[in-house]
Amino acid sequence: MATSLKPVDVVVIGLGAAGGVAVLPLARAGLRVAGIEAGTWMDPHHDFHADEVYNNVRRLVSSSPKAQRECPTVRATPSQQARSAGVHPMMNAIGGTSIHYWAQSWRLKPWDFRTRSESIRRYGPNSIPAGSTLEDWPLTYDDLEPYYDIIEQEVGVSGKAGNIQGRIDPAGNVFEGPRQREYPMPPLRGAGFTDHMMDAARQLGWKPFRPPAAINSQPYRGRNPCVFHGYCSAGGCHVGAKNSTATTTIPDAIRTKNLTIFDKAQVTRIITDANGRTTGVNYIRDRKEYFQPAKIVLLAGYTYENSRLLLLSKSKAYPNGLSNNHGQVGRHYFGHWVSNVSALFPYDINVWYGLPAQGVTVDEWADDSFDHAGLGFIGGASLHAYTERHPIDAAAMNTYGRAPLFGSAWKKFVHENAGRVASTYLQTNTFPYETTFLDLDPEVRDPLGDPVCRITAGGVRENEQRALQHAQNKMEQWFRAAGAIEVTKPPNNGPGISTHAYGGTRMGDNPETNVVDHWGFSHESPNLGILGASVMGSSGARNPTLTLQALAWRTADHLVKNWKSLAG
Amino acid sequence: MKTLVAFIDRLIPSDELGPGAVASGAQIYIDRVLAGPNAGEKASFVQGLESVDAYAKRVHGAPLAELSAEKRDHVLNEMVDSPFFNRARRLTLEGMFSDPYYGGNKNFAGWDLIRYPGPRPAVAAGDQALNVEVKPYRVSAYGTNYGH
Repeated sequence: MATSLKPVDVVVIGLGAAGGVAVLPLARAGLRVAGIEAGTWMDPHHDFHADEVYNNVRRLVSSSPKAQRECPTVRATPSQQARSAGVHPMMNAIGGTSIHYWAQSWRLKPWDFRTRSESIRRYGPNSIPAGSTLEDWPLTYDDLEPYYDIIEQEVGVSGKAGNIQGRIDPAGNVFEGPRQREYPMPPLRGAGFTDHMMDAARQLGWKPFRPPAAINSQPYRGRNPCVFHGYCSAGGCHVGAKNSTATTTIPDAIRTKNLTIFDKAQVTRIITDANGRTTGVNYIRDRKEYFQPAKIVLLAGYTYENSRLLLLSKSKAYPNGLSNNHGQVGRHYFGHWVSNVSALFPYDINVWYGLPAQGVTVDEWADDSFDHAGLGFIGGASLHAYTERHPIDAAAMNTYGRAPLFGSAWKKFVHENAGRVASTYLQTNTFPYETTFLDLDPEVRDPLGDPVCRITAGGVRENEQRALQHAQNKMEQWFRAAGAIEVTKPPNNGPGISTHAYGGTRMGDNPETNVVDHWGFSHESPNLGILGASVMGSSGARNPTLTLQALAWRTADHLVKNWKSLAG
Repeated sequence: MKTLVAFIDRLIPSDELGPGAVASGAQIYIDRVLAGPNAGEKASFVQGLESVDAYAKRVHGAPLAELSAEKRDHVLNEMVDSPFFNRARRLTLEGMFSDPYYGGNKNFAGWDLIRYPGPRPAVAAGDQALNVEVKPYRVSAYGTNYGH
């Protein structure tokens, strides 16, 4: 029997990128907030190192043993047997994945919110990919703009605006939607290689720019600037320049004295009453079970965990899982289609140091920045070239058929070429399909005996594959213009488990096809809110974190402003 | 261990470009990894080494460690597409090019080979210019007093 605790106003499940920002407006408004987190604090001095084995081989900052024991299974189609996905990208820690992420902090484009209607308007109804369940978002870019602005200021984002209230500045991203003001910090400095790539893009007539990042380019609110030491990817920042929620919004919320954190506490069920209202959560801490009553529950786990916890939380009111009486939990899931096009240069490009957010981005071939008539797809991909290369990864380089894989000839090859390889990140506008969904695995269970999440990844989708191939060809063109002598375009048949996982609790006005309403609250259980990329109905051609943080703040802000009606 | 040493000694040999995998201690890294974080794959890895020896005996009449460098190269060439070769090569690269804290990359021989200038506390803009020789900073991320 669970020990019942003193009631609070709001329980937030998960203090990562989403829950970690939502607690701040709630705590500032004077609400008593319990933040329940399966992990705990990470210590920059003991837990963060300039060490490839630690960060990238053993993944000690980006993955926890508890998450691995709940690793989802994955299959392409229902006819296949799902197998362990290998590595669970969920991070259990205060700050969650925002501790180790690349911190690229993008706003989506106005087009991303209205992809369906805009595509039909410009290219006709047949342009919508067959089998996709794409809907327009229930809010516009202009609706979210004030919240993007809040996150950029509160978390701290460096960058260069390309469109301030309609005034276009070619030093920034000219394709972005209008912003109310400049970023709070200038962009991170360029490196020799990224400056060179910028010149090459301009020669092609493109409009490259330095992308935004939640990384301090200068001292910000008492926190240090980046030192460019080259161990940012999958690592924590030892000087605190990466603006995870563990160093920004969560400490700010703690200072209000209205946030209490229950760490190393694993939520096992969300509890509802006979009327379908959410009454609180059960969690396990030190092998004891507790019930934390609350007027409002905000579910803010990783995308796979959000759907899993709802599906596990069955009750009389919700026999198929919480908020799932319309069968929409787990639906409209998709992983981001991404690619690394790499290249070999005939000279040292010196990208050892820096960080993936120190880069140069081209948006010409993303979203609806170009005319798609006759191309056979909608969307596209952003192209991003960057710095940070680690020695094991560099030595494991492709030899391009120019050297054997071992021996003195190989040594000579890597001696010359290990410092001459560039990597890129291409992110495709990705959509949900009828064939892509999450459910509970019928066989594989975690140590508590609960089923793990099963991913049905959907296999090849022609729209995304064509869009990505188109972008890969543009990336090759860019590399060749910059002087590359070899370019590798890996084949892409769609993502499996993903660090950019979307949907499962999609946001939309229609309760027949969406789990949460346009404020992020459940259509079925009105005092349950859901935060994270699991509410996003399309990906955009860029990293999700700033958008899911803006949405999380907006949901929390809506709760504060409508406390009486929502809390009952 | 003898077979492992004989194997990785040909993967990355010592030559005029500097020390190879064995002189850099990659076998120490592999031994520790298979005893610790990767203990789950130790049995299959040892089995892989045994099958290399079995092949060496069948084709060249002696276990790998007793063959000439040329004959060992022949064995490696024959198995270059096998999963075991791929895994053994990967672990050797990890040993040779990881922070010396883990037992390999002795005297920073791995990092010198690929001209990686080492993790440093802060990186100036000039250290990120195209085509510059950055002065190596030969310090482990764990300082100088590590050791197992």
